[in-house]
Amino acid sequence: AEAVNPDVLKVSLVAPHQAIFTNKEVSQVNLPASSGEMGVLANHVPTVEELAPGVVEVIESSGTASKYFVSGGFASILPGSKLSISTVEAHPLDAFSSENIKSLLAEAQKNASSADETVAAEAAIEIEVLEALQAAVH
Amino acid sequence: SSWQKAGISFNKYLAIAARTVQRSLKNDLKVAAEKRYISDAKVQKLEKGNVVSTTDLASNKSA
Repeated sequence: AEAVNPDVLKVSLVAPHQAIFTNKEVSQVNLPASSGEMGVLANHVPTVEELAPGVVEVIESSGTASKYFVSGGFASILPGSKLSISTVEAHPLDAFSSENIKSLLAEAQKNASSADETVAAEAAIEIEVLEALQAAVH
Repeated sequence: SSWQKAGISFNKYLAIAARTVQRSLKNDLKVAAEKRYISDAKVQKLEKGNVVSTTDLASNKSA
């Protein structure tokens, strides 16, 4: 059996098309929970958190931090210092184009005032994502 | 939230957020990401071989 050290956090970050981390041993993970930013260390109380579009920051024991933008999903904090993050899209911050974000945001802001309730609601979701992206990429 | 009031389900909310993230990628990565299929699902109820109702899972309003 695998040796278990409960004082090390093991994180998995998965999207349907790709597993970015599988049980990677790290010291801390910061999550964009919809209830607010939260930091997770080893031996955290088990819980499930809904994630808002935002940045997941993974801090390794060496102190090296890597940041991924996730489109939203869930984080499950399991017993035994395991953290499982499920999302639809997750990409490192340098994968994004600030020009694309800017033009999409302009378009979404135009649609947000649409008389069509569904169009306006979709635009509001897009604005939420794009503003979080803009804050993360800059 | 406002999208729930407009009849958008959580499923659809995640799909819109994911689509927006894909479109924000650098152009070379965007092409690959946009090829990934985002599913739309519907539930149909049949009674004696006839469709009696269809619910689009993208919406919390039944049609």
